[in-house]
Formats: sequence, C-alpha cells, structure tokens
Amino acid sequence: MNGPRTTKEALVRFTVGATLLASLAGCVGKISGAGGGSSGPPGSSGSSGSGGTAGTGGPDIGSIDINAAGTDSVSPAFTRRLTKTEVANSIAALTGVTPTSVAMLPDDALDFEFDRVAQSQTVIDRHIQGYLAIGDEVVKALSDAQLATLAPACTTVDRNCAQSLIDTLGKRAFRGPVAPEQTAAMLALFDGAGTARDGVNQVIRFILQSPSFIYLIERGTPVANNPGILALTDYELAARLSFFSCETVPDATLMAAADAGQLHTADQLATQATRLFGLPCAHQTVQAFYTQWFHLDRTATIMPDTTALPLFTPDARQGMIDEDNQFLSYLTWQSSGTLASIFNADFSFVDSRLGAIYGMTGLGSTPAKTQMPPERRGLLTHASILVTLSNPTATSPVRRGAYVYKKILCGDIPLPPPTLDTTPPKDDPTKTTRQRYALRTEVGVCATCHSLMNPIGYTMENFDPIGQVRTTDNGQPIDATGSVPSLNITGLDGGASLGIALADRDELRLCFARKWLRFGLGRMESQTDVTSLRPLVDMARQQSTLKDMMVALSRTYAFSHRAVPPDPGVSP
Amino acid sequence: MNDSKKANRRLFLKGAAGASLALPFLPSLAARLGHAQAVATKKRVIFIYMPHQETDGFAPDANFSFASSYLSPVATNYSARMLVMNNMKTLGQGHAGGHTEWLTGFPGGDDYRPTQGPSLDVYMSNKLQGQTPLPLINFSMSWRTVINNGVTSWNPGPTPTAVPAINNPPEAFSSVFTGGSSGTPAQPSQALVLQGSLLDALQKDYQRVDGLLSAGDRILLDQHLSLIRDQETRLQNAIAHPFSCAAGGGAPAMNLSWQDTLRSFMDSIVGAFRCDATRIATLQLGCSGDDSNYTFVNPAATNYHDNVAHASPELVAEVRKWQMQQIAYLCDQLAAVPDGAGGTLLDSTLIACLPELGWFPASGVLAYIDSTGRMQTTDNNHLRFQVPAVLIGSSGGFFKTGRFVDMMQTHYHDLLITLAHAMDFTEVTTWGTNGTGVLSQLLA
Repeated sequence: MNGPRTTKEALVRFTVGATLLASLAGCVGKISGAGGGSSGPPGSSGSSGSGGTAGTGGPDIGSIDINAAGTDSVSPAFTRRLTKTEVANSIAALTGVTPTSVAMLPDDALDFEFDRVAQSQTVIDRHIQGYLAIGDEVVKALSDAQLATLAPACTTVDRNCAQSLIDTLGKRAFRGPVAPEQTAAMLALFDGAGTARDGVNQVIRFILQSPSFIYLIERGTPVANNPGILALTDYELAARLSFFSCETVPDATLMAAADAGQLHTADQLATQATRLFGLPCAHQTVQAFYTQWFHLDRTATIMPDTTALPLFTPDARQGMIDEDNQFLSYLTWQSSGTLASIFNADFSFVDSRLGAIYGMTGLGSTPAKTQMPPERRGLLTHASILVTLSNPTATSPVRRGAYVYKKILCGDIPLPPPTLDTTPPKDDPTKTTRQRYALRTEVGVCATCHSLMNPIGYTMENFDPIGQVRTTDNGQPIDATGSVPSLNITGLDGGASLGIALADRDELRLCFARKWLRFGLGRMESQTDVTSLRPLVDMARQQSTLKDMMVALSRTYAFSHRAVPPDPGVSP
Repeated sequence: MNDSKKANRRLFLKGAAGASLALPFLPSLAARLGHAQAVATKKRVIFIYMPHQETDGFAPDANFSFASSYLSPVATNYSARMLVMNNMKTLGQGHAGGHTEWLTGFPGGDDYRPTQGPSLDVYMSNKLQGQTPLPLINFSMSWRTVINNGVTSWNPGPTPTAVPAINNPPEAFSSVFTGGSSGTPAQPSQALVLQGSLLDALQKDYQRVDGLLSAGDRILLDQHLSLIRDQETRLQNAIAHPFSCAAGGGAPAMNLSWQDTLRSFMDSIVGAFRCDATRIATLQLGCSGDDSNYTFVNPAATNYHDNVAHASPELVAEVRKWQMQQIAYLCDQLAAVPDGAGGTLLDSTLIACLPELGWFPASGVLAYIDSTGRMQTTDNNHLRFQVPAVLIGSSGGFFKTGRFVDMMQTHYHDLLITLAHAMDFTEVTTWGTNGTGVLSQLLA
C-alpha cells in the first residue's frame, strides 16, 4: 500500500459500493467468521443475519456470520455479461473459430477480484466494436464447407441452411430455445442480404451479438413463499453449470439433460458438476480461480531490483510461476488436497531454477514434489507471494499483512484517506524494515488500521524481497514474531507459523466459500447467502477435498436460484 | 523480440501514412474544404495528461531560457510557441482529486470519478459532432483504461460515465485508419449497409429482452442498447458522408517498446489531424498514480509512483525530460505536415500539457498560503496548491506565447475556460466548481 493511488481500484458501480467504503473515522476492520462466537473480533457480528432480504438493497459484503440462522435465500445481482475468456471459449466451441479480435474487448474489471462479478461490469463502446469485429472475423474464417459442419442443412448455402443454423448453433449459443421473434429477425436479415452467403453471415453475426448469447439472462420462475426469489429453469442451470465449470456454452450432454427436464434437483446438478469437473476444461477454470483469488498473475510482471537481488532471474521467475501452478493443481486434482493443505503443506513443487533462492540443492530441472525445509509451509511461503508483496529492494510488511488480512481472510479495511501522506518509510541503514515501518505506520491515526495488518506481515519478515530465508536485515537480527490480532492468534514466529495457524480457522474456510461462490456465480455474496456458504464451510471443517467442495456449490440453494436485483432508480 | 524490426514497422506506418494520406480531391470534399476555409482555420487540440507532479527544473529562467529546464527538449525548436505557467490554484488534492479535476473541474473522491462531467475534450468533441467523421480520439500509455483512475475523458452529467482510451497502437491505428483501403468510396460499401441492418435487428432484440427483465436486471443491457444506437448513428453518418483516411500501409506491430508505443499513438493523432478525421485528441502518458517502469530512462526508475514520484525529484525531472523529448517528436511530426496556406499542422494545433498533481519543490517542503491567508508549509507532494501547465501553440494567435507567466494563484478552472475559448467555444463562461472567466493575462 503505497499511497492514495492505484490500489484504489474498487469502483463503486452498484450499491455494494456504499458498504465497501467503510467509515474512515475509525478503522473498523472486520473479518467474517463465527460472529458472536469466540473467534470473531468484537463487533463482527454486527451485521444483520436475517435472510430473505433480496430486493431491499445492495448486499452487505462486510462481515458474514456463518453460524447465524438464516432461511434459504440469495443475494441479488443484475444480469452479468460473459467474460472475455467465456466469449472466446464459447465461440470456439460453437464455431471452431478462435477469434483473435476478442483481444479488442476491454479487459474484464477485477474490482471484486474476479473477472466475472456482475457488480463490477459496465458496457462501453469498445465492447460494441469488439463484438462487431468478432462477428466479422468468425464469418470470414468459416468456409462454406465448415458451415456444413455447424448445421446439417448447410451442405447447400441457402435459406434452409440459415434456418438450420438458427435451430442448432442458435440454440446452443443462447443456451435454450431461440425466441420466435429472434428467428423472424434472423430470417429477415437473411432475406435482406445480397447473397445467400451474405445472409448466412448475417445470421451468425446476429447469434454472436444477441443479448441471449452475450449476457447470462436468467428469468427463472417465482418461488412460493419466498418473494423476489426465482428458481432457475433447466436451461438456465445448464448455462450456469457450464460457465461455472468450463467457462463455455453447455455441451451436448447438458443440453440434452435440460431438454429432458432432468437438470434442476440438487442431485442432478451435482452429478453433472462432478462430470464437468472431471474434464480438462475445469482445470483451466480452477486455475483461473486461484490466479485471481491469490493474485498470482503478478509474478510474471513484478520487477524487483535485480542489481541488489541478482538471484531473481527470468528462470527463477518462471520457476515460481510453475511452482504455484503445480502445487495447486496437485492439491486439487492429483491428490486429496484440502483447503488447509494450501496453507500448511510441508511439500511443494520446486526445481533447480528455484534452488538458489530456496537454499536447496540436488533439485531436478523440472518441478517435482519435494519436502520443504521447516521455514516453508504452504502458499504464503512461496517465493511468488513473497516477491509480489515486496518493494523492489525491501520487503513490505504492510503489503504482506494487508494481503493476508483482505484476500486470505476476507477482512475489510478502509484505504487511507486521500489527504494522508502515505509515502513509504525512508531508507535508514541503521534500522530493519520492520523498525522503519513501525515508526512510520504505528503512530497516530495510521496505527488504527495498521495494528490489524502489520503484525501479520511481520511474521513473514524472515523472507527477503525475493523470498529467500534471511536472519538479518540491514545488519540487524530479524524479528519475525507476530500475530493475527483480529483472530486472537498470538505467538507466531515466521511465515510458516502463520500458514499453519490460519489453516484450521473458520475465517479461512468461510473466506474460501465466499470467494468460490463469488467466482462460481459471478456476483457478490452476503449474509443472505449464509445457508449456501455453510455447507462449504462444514466440508472444509471435515477436511473435504478441494474438488469436492468446488463441486458442492452446485448443490446449494444459491446455485439454483437468483434474486431479483434492486431497482437502480431506488438506490443512489 | 527484435526491437529494430518493430521500430521499422512503426516507421513504415509513418512513412506510408505520409505518402498516402494526401486528401483525394473529390468535388464534395473540395467544397467542404472551401467552406471550412471561408469560415475559419480549423483549430485542433491535443490534451496531454502528465502523471504525477512537476518539480524543480520545470520553469525557464527570467530570460525565458530553458538551459536548466527539463522542458528544454521542446524548447530547443519551439520555445517561441510555448506558454509556460505556474502557480495556479485548484480545488482537487491528491491523486484522485487532481486526476478527476483534470479536464472536468469537478474533483471526485476515492472512486476516482469526477462528480460531474463532461471533460473538456468530450465537450468539444460533442460540439463538433457531424463536422468531423470521428469524435474525440483518446489514447493512453496505461493498461488501466476501464477503471476510473485510468480514465480522463468523461461524458456529461453527474457521476459521469467514462470515455475509455485505447491503449494499444494497432487498435489506435485502426480507430483512425478505418478499413485500410485507399481512396474514397463513391458508394457506401455493402459491408456498411449490412452492418446497418444487423444493428437495427440487434437493437430490436435488446429492446425485446429488456422488456422481459426487471429494471435492475436491465442495467447492462440498457447501456449496451444505447451504445448500439450510437454505433448505428455513426454508421448512418458514415454512409451519408463517405470518409477516407486511408493508411496505405500496415498497422503498427504489437509489443512495441515504450517509446515506440507512445510515438505510434502520436503518429495516429497526426494522421487523424492530417485528414481531418477529428480535431480533438487526448493522450495520457499514464494513469493516475502511474506505476509504470521507466528503467530505460534510469535504472532506478522501476516504478513511476514508488521509485520516482515518491523517491527522487531528480528522477521526476529525468522522466519529465524524456516525456518532453517525445512531445518534441510530436511537434516535429505536426510541423512536417502542410496545412492551409503555407502553414503546418503545428500552426493549427494547440498542445496542452497538464499535470495530475501540482508543482512540488525538490527540497521536499512546499510553502503556500492557506485559505485564511496564512503562510503554511507541507511535505505532502500530492497537494495541488501550485499547479503549472505548458501550452505549445498560440491557437491561431489567441495566446501570447514565448513567455513564462506566474499565474499568481488564479484558478485552474479558468484555464480550462480559456482553453475552450482558444478553440472558439466562446459559449463556455463557467467551468468546473470555480471557473468564472477567461484568463486575460494569457491572451495575445
């Protein structure tokens, strides 16, 4: 956190903004958890635990009390747009064309960490230009012969071919039957074009730019005794399952299940989810989840001062990226990895590129499962995390602490007010980084918030700015003792102790459940979702595997329902 | 990765554009030119967003010499065209305040959105609608173009929506050089006609789906629908007034170096001005609180925010000097294109370099007069108590150039009004929260 600046990227685009911008008057740091119980900070159970508040305002994304009673309900969100990845995957699945002009679309906003959160989405002119360009590129890339592979009647390019494309390509792209008005509009486009091929091209362009393709439109059916809540239709659930697991349009199996009306019970959904999470495409989706949750993409671009820290070579950087990917992939897919194991595993996947930084010898040239020295336990002690949360020549206990507090524990903490001078502490060769930060941030108004974050970051001070274990800093002995004040965790010493301490906390379990729901459903979560979050937290308590927990979201009430969003005219 | 090859690709674009951008002299176009000349010289403006603060070495000396000023790269050839000023008052403070106030005069809060729009570039662009084929073009060196701290151009109204910049050279190129074919089409192309009917059908489909959804669910779809309508309006305009800004050559390569990227944007702006595709351009040298890597200027400049703006006034000056070298390049390109009777594009273009933050001395302590008239000091280099600006070009003799003016705490919002008047938007009499009139001390 280096100033009132670019880190403030959470834009207020929907009513959640109002609850995001906590009062700056006092630092009311909040971590979700067992509110009212032993582990929550004082006051953390303050938010309402009542369910069924859909339609009455924006979701409260502050603290969530996982033990509070609640009736089945869901937090509202407006219709979301497909992400760039989803557009690219879907068009490839539908047409076999991989359009490069997807790159013209603006990058998806990451205000709420994930690229698919409805509340962070807007539409700008470049979307329109991009969709037009994608449509043009696809029709140009499709030969007449390829058309025949898309729709049976297209062995001849004529009006029957257009109708056939509407019935097959259109239905899959729209994840359900094409509306009669849409069919009429497309046939009119066909008739108004110069040649039959021009006409067919118009039909394909329409399909790829219709709201039925670009937006996840869910109308559902009203639920008795639960006003404002809609149960999704089988087709809508086919789309949810498919984008949730594979970021693409439903496959033939899903569409057939929806056609047959066999896709709405929890068991039906979980059966399909289990099947889909066995496909290679799900691996990519889950990797995207980890990358966005843990902000792993920064490893590729972080620029430490390599004059001062020459061990940070391009090879070492790639070694760090590979370590994270293989570690998380192994835990999720090749073993019975649990959420806890992400944070306390005593092994990782390292090779000789990381040997110098990790002080390990005898490593092979490609990452292999390796027992790690006692200083390193879990992801928080991976070099990637340690380097991306450092300044070029010095560690940043504030960045490291804030990362754990906010991203790993889902804590809320306000940004420094813009009038505050947030220049990082000046270099001082007589002091350790910890001492410099303490002098700068643990005095006056700064201390209110920093006392929640700094003690977490201090535990990682036994790792230098590129993740090497160190015992001194500026010639002084390292002090890596610390705590997690808001969780009453004390007596930590070193990054490994932090990961081990967090691994069995309900706050971590709930944070995972929240992030997975947010990612899986593409919307913000709130207390209203408590009955859907609780099963995931319970599974984590029972050391269920990551994969089983991921699949289990498909069984929840939140997965098969949605809430009508508030009228934007009512909220500011 | 072959830098020289990439540079050549970009230079090729410039050369090709130079060779083929000459306006085809069709009767309708000649008539339009004749009309334009009879009324007034076309005036053009480029707003350049200068991230972070200015520091010691900004101002020329008492003799208007730039020997110890980091503005020297521009001054070397163009000092007579420069109007350098310092010491303007503002309302907005900090990264967010300065950024949002930049062209709107309505500083916003933590969400980096001004409280009200439009920004001056968008205002001008809207006023010129129909006179040029393209609206405002805005290009940015930052990857942040969708989030507010990367947005400098805002639509009209309270809590305005963004007009995001383009941040990659090929896209900037194709936004200007539409189609890439040469010559003006005598008939609107079949592709445009087909796109027109497609947009019409899509409009109806969005309307139909909108009708099925609740007001809350329509938020994105409504935005989408109105943008499709805009696109259709532009398209109908293009069909009615065929326009050619043919490049003749290829688009710039992807992954250019930082300098080549910036220069490619500049080339596209010059190309757009040359064929009068637009007269308003905004060029962001970065986003608010920019954290780009400037190690090619100095190895220590790994992060503009952390290791330059917050670390070293000397580095701030070094990065500024490099930026001024690029702006000199822009001037050179404009000066190379004939425009009107014996003049060049540089004569008809006003370049306004306006900073995100204020001037902050290398000593680290800024003395200023507070609102009660008392002298205060601060070590916060994010304050905008003394905002400088550099104008290049007289805007058709509107400004008295070739001098340095101490603005004596007159208001920055009045500078925005003055810039509007320089561009002949004399209907602007107030701007932002505090703008009340033209700054007469700047005029010729």
